[in-house]
Amino acid sequence: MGATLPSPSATTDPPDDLAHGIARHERRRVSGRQVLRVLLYLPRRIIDLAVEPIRLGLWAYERYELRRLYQRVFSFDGQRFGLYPVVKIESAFGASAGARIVHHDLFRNRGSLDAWATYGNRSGAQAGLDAHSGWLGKRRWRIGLASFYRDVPADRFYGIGDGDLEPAPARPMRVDARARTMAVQTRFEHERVRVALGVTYRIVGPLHVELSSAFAWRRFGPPTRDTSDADIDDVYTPQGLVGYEDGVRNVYNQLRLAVDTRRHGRSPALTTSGWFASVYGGYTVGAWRDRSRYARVGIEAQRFVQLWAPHRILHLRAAVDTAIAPLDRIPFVDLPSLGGPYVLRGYPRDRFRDRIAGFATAEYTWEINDFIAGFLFVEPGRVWSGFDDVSPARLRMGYGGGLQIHSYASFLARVQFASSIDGGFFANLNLSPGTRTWTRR
Amino acid sequence: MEGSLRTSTCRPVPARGRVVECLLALVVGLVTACADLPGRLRFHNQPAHWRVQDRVPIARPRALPVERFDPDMWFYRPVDYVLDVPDPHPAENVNALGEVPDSTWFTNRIGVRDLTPAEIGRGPNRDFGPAPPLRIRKLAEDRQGLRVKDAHGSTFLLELDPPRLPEMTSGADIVVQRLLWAVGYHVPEDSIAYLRRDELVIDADSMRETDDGEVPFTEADLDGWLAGQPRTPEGRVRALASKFVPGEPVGPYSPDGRRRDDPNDRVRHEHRRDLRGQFVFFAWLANTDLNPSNRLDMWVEDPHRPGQGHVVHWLIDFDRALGAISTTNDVPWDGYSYTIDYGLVLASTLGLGLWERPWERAKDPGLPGVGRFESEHFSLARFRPRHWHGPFLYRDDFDDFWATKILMRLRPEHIRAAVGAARYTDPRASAYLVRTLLARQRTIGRQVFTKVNPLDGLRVVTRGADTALCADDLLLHHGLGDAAIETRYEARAYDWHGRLLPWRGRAGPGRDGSFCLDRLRSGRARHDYTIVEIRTRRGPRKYAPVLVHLARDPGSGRLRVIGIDRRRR
Repeated sequence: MGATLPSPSATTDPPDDLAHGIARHERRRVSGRQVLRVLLYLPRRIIDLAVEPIRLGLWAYERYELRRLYQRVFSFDGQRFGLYPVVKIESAFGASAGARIVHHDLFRNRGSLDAWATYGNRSGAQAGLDAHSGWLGKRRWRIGLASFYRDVPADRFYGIGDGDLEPAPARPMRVDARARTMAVQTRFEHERVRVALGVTYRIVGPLHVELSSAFAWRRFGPPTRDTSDADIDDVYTPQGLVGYEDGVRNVYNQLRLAVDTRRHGRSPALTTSGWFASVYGGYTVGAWRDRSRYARVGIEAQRFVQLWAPHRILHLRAAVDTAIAPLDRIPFVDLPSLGGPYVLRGYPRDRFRDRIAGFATAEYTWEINDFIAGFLFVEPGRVWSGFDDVSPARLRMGYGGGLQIHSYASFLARVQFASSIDGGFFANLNLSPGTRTWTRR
Repeated sequence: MEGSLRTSTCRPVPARGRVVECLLALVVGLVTACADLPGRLRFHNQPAHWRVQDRVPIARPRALPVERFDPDMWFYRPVDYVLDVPDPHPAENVNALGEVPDSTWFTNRIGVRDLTPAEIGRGPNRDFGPAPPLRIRKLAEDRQGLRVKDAHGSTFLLELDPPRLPEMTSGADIVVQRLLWAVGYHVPEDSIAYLRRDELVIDADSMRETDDGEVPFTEADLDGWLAGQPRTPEGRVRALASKFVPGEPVGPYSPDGRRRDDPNDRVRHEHRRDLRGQFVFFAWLANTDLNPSNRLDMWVEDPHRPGQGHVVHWLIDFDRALGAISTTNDVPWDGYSYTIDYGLVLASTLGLGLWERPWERAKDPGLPGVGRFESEHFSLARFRPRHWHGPFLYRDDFDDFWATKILMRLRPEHIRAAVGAARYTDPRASAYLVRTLLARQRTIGRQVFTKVNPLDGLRVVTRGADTALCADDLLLHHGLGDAAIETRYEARAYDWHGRLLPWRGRAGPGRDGSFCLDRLRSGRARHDYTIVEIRTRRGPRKYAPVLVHLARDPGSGRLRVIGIDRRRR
């Protein structure tokens, strides 16, 4: 039995000086806390003002059920169909913003449609449409379409090869990029359209084969936006840049064999376990007087390993991409490349191009809470001019980390910071709610 | 010092001689300033108040909207709290003994008398749940709550378990409702009902809420509501039936401040001990959902004075407790982290995931009807509800002590009775819940009773000419202490003026954790006003003193406890 306690008395009239028989709290003398309170008064008011819009937004979100309102206005067909904002910020390419329409259950067969359009002053106009049918015919077949248009007013080119970055020459030079490795940061206009159609056949379990055909059209020219970098044709001779003068029009056919056992956690944007491996080969032929004619072969393997506790995931990835042909048969932008926010992070986008590109990733991801994950990565890699050159010597190495924000239903945003053993600092923000992952892998 | 339950020397004494008293107290205060013992606090020579008059008739207050949740609860409140640098603020609605009097918020039950297991098994319920036929009134828009009127004209809200987790949410609600009632809160009459489809009657007034308003409730709606539910061999479906509480709803009570249109609401809610103490009870029961919709104010009209009444404060909806929400919503952090927990986010970010978060070792028992609820990794200090809550931010060790005293009075048979009321079909589920609740109860008791001087049941015992002050050491009384560690109690006494009396008391604990300080020497002034300072030493640990104020009852002439002053150091 518990401790003895007094039994409750009957109601006793409270004394006059007490509130209902209970003495009120009395103020104390000036304390250190009060001094601190005075000192913090101004910061508190400033923070109040700063967070007021957020509070107001959250209050309105709940009070007026803005989520439901948003869904009613921008989300259709039982929330399978939605309109979402897209914002991207990338070092050297500035900010771009736009919108995407996503349908998660096309033809009521778990097919998908993802159409987007963005515009940025430095990154230019981009639009795209991806769609796939969902699994058909006893869940074995799937048809897909991937297409995009991009017009980048000042894309970057650093020459061909693994050269260290050199300052822009004081006077125009005319280096043949095929013959001499000289890495200078230059700019050019790059307009392109790519349309790809593919059919996927599930062989057994997670093993599938994919046959695809893509048509690409590209046009190049001097940059249409002023930058501090040199123009491409002030450094590199246009004759040495295959396709630069006449543009590129080619068709690429590819066969790919892949196994995919990846699984995700509470959010589809956070892969927690499994394998992805693929091997592919294809051939490109030019059309309408285009001289493109090269084979492409590659292999990729990814492994997601849960470490000592749930939601501590090590993502290992290795990939090699090769273009097999003399350099004068490969458009300079079709050469396998490294650098940018997705591969060999820590280097500028397309910093390295050559006939062979290989890189590896070790990325550690840990859950901070249900909606935020942190990640750290290190990525060695480099390009080589041919199989005879391939060696692990002089590997480039990028490293960095960041945060990913997601919901239980989709990816929301990713902030990434990266650098490399060669210096430089790259920040990247990708806000793209409604998608499954931060990038197509 | 727990300074709210009493007044200073100068306030409560009669006006005559007040100046002299104050000057005297000042001199005494200066002399004893270093120790601040026994201090200037003096209590009225009267019994402690055990009931508060907060039912003064008032007009019906404005009905406040029930927000699904208050965004400040998980975003702004902690920031504001930290920047405000609040002083420690003792609870205000306590009597001279530090207890919470009965009110429209709280009714002392097991805290002041022994309840039988049958009483707890029945809880606040006056009947056996809804009596069929049940006429359907309305199905909520989320298609979960079905409002029905039973054969006696009572209105009930029927809720089903998630189809894949039978008995989990309904069982949790019943267990928690019974136990919260036992400790003293106002909770609705909830019961488990087994329904046949033909007992649910659709009539012309049966409606279903939709985005665009109400539409007639159809047979298909009823089929949809019952779909996927497991059936008993007799074809019945299990449901949680919650009887509507009496009165008219006037919205949820705020966790902070007072209700301005209710003159009876005199104490800021964050300074109410009964609300602060919920931290202990909610931690015990893993009742983490503090949404405003789970608090309800009802205005009850006085039958003799139409248009006048008073507000009663209720806790409702416990179906997410006992780890149920952790399982149904797959949120293993429930009970260990706020929804947005700045501290954990910072620690997790800087810790790079190398730090194992508190919930990551906790296991799901994997029993039918039982959520992710365990005792092995439970700690009161680690408990976090889903949202920041004003009373919990301001709570102190004495609030925890008050609640834990009550909690520890629940015996295994009480808990078994509460769990039995949930009617789990698998006896392993019932046994596990009882075992886990008992283990968590003891964890709380051990943690709280080692933080404050756990003396309670302070009483004056007269044996012939000898007067003794007796008390219970709750850590030992409940068998939570380490028998190998020696405990000693030392006491000295002061008179009304704060002068040390020629008496020293020393004692050790008895087998039941109680002890008496014999041959007590009382003061001579003001009805023999005496202040006994008791210090507890347990092994190397010294607890802050408890000051027990005694005075002679003018009626009986017996010395009695009139107030308790628990010190922080």
